[in-house]
Amino acid sequence: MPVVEIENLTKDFLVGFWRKRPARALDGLSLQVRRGEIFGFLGPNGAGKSTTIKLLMHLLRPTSGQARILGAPVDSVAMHGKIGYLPENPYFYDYLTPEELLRYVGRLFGCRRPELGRKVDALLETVGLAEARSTQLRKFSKGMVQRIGIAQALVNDPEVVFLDEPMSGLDPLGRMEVRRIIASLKARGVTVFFSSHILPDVEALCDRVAILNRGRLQEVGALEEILKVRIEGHEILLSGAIADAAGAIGVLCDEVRAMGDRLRVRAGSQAQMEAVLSKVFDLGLELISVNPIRPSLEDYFFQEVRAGARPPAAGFPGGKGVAS
Amino acid sequence: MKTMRPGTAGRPAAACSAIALAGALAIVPLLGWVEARRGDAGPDPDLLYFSAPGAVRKMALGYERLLADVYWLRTVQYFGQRDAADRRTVRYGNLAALLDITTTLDPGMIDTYRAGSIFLGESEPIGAGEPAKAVALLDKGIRANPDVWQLRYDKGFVLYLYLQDFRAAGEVWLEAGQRPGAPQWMAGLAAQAFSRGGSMDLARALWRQQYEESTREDIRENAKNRLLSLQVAEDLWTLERHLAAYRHRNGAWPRRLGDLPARRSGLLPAADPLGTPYAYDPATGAVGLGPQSKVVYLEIPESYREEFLRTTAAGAD
Amino acid sequence: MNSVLVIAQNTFRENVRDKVLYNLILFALILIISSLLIGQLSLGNEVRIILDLGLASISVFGMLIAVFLGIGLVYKELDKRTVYALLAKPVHRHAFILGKYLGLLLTLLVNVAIMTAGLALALLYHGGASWGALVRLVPAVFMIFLSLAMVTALALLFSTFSTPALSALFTFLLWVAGHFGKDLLRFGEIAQSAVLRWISVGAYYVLPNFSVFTIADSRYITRDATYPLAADPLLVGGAALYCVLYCAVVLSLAVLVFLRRDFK
Repeated sequence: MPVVEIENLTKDFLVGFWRKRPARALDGLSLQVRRGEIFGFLGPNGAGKSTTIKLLMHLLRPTSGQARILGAPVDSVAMHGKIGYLPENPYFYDYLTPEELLRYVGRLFGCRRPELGRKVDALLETVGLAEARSTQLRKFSKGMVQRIGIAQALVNDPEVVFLDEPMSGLDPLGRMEVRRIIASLKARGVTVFFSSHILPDVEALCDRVAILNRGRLQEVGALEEILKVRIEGHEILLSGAIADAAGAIGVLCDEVRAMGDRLRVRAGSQAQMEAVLSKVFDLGLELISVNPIRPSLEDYFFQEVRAGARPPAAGFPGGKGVAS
Repeated sequence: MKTMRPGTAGRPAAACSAIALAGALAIVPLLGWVEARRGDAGPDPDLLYFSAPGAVRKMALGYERLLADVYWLRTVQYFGQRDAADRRTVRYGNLAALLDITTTLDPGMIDTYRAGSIFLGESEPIGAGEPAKAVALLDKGIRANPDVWQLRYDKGFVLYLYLQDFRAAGEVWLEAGQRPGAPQWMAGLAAQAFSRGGSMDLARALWRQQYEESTREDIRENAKNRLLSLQVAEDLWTLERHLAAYRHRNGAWPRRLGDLPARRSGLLPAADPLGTPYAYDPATGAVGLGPQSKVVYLEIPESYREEFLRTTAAGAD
Repeated sequence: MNSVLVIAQNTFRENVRDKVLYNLILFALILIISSLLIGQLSLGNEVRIILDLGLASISVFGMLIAVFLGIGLVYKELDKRTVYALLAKPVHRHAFILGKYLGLLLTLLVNVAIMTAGLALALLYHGGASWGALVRLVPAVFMIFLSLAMVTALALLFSTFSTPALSALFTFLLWVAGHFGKDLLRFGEIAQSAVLRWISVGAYYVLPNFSVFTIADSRYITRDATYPLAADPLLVGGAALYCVLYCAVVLSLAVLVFLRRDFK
């Protein structure tokens, strides 16, 4: 049974001061998340990612449609005891220390005293905040707040974890940490649902992704499948007397570029590749490598998103107060 | 799949609405009960954390007149709730202070001085029984409003009727007559006070004036009772004189009031002005109001009795 | 309702770490001490003045604490978005409101106790009050606390939908209006129009009525002869019941607002 089922979820916000008009932030989203997978939720700002997660957390109520987590409807308070949530741009009570915050959260989950202590220690270790455990949160940097946010999402050993932009505001080291944590969660069998617009992270971690644009689901599936569809040719690296050969090669392929003492050739099709390769020896060049060009998620993203762009719904604000 | 109800919050919302409604409905009778039980022994009006009227005025921050209205309303309530007054050790102990605060907040409230002086001067249990304080109140009003003749008239009223200081009353009425707009009869009133001293006719005239002119129901009621009392006093004194004459002639009290000769000819009153027959005790010759009498009898000064007996000496049989 | 207690405890902790609180308590204690000096100016009746001033300080500063802490109770969580993480936990929304309210009530209780202790010490230092009077301080202060509970509930209600500035204003206005008590009805009686009369009747029941809590004031404490009401237990019970009902209504409204809210 899927751990998260979303069916036709739609959310309208009322905007405007006097005559409130509905602005559709999410339009008929349907998807499922399987147990044990890391599911990435992608989209540009204003696509509806945060809205979706907030709907799942029952912070917002849908205009229509339904969703279930672990088989229970999202307004089930008991179900919330089995999941974890990290909000976007999190903020926690700044007068508390990390230790106090985690104890507070733990008691809300109904954890008992002795095991709570151990759990808090372990979590602080995991997110690397053990030294700062008695510093008030108001003194924390953004990265540290992000880390305590992840910690508080894990207090109850959840079965599913929902992370809204978990890497935002982190330096590369911090992002590595978070990646490591997410990977370790998967290793423990926890399902992870996270939204992000940092594509390399998604690429590295996710089993499946969903791509959201302007409130609509564009694509969902395993990463390789989405990207495999578009092998865009091959990249051929050549070295040698490149200055003379550049022109001759250039007519045979899509693109040729000199990079230092190498020539980088982009052959858009099988025919082009064969043509170029056959010429290599004639021109006295050396073959260094031939690689298929698979678009990065980034390229795919820009391409698909732009192509799939629809004219904005009337009055769609895309600004503060409406989910990203 | 179970639907997540969009827009509403379902059962918790219904429970909250029910609680809010039930609570609100329960509050109405509860509040009424609490206030009724408490009566008016509520906040000590004259010491609501401010002891001095001057302090009250300063704290009023420009809303003196509104506060004066509030205090006047409180004063009237304080005075008007008989059962609450019954429960107090001193019936109207705070009345003078309340009036003082009210008139300090707004020295121009003429009606407050006038009605307040009656409340203060009238004897217990109807009033506070403090005519000296009534005079003090009126003096304050006169200082603040020197040209309002009614205040001096009232001062004379209190002096004459409650303090029996006929000379002083006359003097004040003389001054009153000199104020702008004072009626013509004021001088005549003053003259009567000087010449005749304590006079029942004058008292009657004063009470009748108040009964006809006052706009306050409770004060008119009081004036009416005063007039009735005067009438009853006259009736009783007349009866007493005739009874004494009868005894002097026949050596014993008559068995019934009807045995008096003047009674047979209809010259003597048989009943009080409200219709209850006077009670007569043949053993002692005492007459008084009947037990079922509806007259609220307020005491009459002795000096009136002497004057009455003097002036009506002729005519006894 | 385990989560209610957990939230209440955390709210208490939050309040205790708020510096505003200490300033207010300090001022209250200063005022109570200075009542000793003022009492000496009044030529007798000093105990009465100390009591009046002390009780008034507790009432006013208690109100200030209730308002200043109450207006931020929900607003801060909404504004800073700390409420997001909280409501994703197994916490009912009504538990959130109740927990916040109880936490602030607890804070108030502690503060009122401190101020009362200060007042008792001032009385002891002065020496003019009997032990009985000191004991009777408790029901008098309890009445004040009941009125503070109502003010807190109102501040919380406004906090669920209004900015702190407006919440403070509204709550303060309601506190002022609540002292008119029955005068509200009397205003309606002098008014000529029926509409105004209905409005004043409505206002009398809707607005908090703090005059019911004045049954235990300084005259009661000093057993003043002119004060006829000894501690009438039915009256005290009635006033307490009124407080509970009123707070229940206000808190239900607060929960209703909170339930219907979208957290964007």
